[in-house]
Amino acid sequence: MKDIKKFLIMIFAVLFVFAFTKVVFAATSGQYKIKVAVVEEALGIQVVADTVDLGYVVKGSSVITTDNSTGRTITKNTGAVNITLKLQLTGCTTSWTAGSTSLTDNGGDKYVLATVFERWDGTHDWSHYGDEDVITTTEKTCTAASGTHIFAPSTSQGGSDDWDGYNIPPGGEVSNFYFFKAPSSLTTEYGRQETITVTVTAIQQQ
Amino acid sequence: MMKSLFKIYTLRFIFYILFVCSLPFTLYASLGISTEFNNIFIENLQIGQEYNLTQMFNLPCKAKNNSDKKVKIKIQPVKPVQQSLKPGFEVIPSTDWIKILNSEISVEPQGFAVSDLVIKIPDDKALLGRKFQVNIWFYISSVEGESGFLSMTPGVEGSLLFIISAEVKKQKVKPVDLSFELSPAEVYKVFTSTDNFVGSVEIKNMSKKTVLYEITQANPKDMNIHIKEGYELLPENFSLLVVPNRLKIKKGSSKKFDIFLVSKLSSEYIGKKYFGLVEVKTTSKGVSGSKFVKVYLEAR
Repeated sequence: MKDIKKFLIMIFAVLFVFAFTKVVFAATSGQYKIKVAVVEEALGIQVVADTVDLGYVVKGSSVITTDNSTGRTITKNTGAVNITLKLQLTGCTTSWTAGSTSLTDNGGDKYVLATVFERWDGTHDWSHYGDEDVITTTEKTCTAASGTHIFAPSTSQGGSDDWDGYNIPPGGEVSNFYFFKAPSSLTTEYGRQETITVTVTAIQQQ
Repeated sequence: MMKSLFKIYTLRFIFYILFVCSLPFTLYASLGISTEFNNIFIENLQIGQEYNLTQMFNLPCKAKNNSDKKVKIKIQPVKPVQQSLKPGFEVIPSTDWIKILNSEISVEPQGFAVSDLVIKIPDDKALLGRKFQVNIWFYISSVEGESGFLSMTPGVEGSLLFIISAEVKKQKVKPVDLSFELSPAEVYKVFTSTDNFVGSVEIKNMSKKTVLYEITQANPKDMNIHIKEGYELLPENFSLLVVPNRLKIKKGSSKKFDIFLVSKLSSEYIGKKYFGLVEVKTTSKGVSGSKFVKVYLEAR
């Protein structure tokens, strides 16, 4: 009889300890809960222009686009937040390489591509381009036209959203005009199909 | 024979001297991309653990092809640039911590690129309590049937923020399902002293089971939200009341809750614009998941 009592007391003691630790554990795991929060702030852009034609470019020479209808690309903020744009070369099927240091960094099979955001109906001039506007294989983020003006006219009037790819509000759109400096010599065959891809990426402006 | 060969090479030589080639900068009629995988906050991750966001929260990384062409979308983790870094967060030390299980996807027009994302936290006590940001870059890498000398393609970069727990603890977790929609996700209201109804919001449960949702006012400061220009946080003597504050919704169904503003409107508030947040939360063992309704108010 005594043995049965002892046995039952032991079982109750074990159950009590088990229940107690369960309660304590529950409290602890409550403190260390993994929380995920999704604040929906949609990001979106649309590239809505058709074709920009650089025409014929003499080997080793440069060209800029100036035509309002065929000389620009348009990027529109279709998201819900202010965005800033980044540009980089993401693909190249050619044996050409991209010059990265300056507007004159071309060479044998080496070209330079640069861009600035400008008012579509403004004037487009060579003096608007600087070394900071060269598009490279590593990302470069737009800065305000009134600041260090990366991808904005060097002679910027500043202040206006039309003049840079910085802090574009929802629904806003900007236009890019282009500078291209051709390779000084070529080893590739004339007429070969080549593709260079520039990616424009939207990041949320803080 | 030698003469004609000479002619051919001479012509080619002259051609190279004069022209590189015609350089049409081909842009596709309309290429677009968008994502809502942005501003994702995760707290209390443990060192030495792996977290698959689809398995834990039904939260894959996802981008929409808003183009009228079939495209390929690439997804990759990148270190955020200064302009996109949230206050209080560090740049992730290595993008190797993030695995995108399906990093290049063919997507039909108006379709989605969807992939699981895994966060792998190194087993390093120096990381305890630290806050990191990594950005997820979605971009159109190629367009079906299109080619040109130069092409421009769009991309978007959403932010993923995570906080590592300050203590090493064993976690027992049961996944939550974040596949629910809030409609509208933003509410705008001009309010007066006689009208305190802000609006109704519908929760649509798109998961495969019945879910209980808890609805409360949240503090925007805790969420690192960038508040729209012209708006300020709701004053302390203003609060948002939700009715009901708990909703049990069957799979595939939806229910509504109402938001009211509790305030004593005086002349000092007239003409000002305020911003508040309402949190809709679902919980499970060791895990909770929330989405938010943004409330924009103007006092008149």
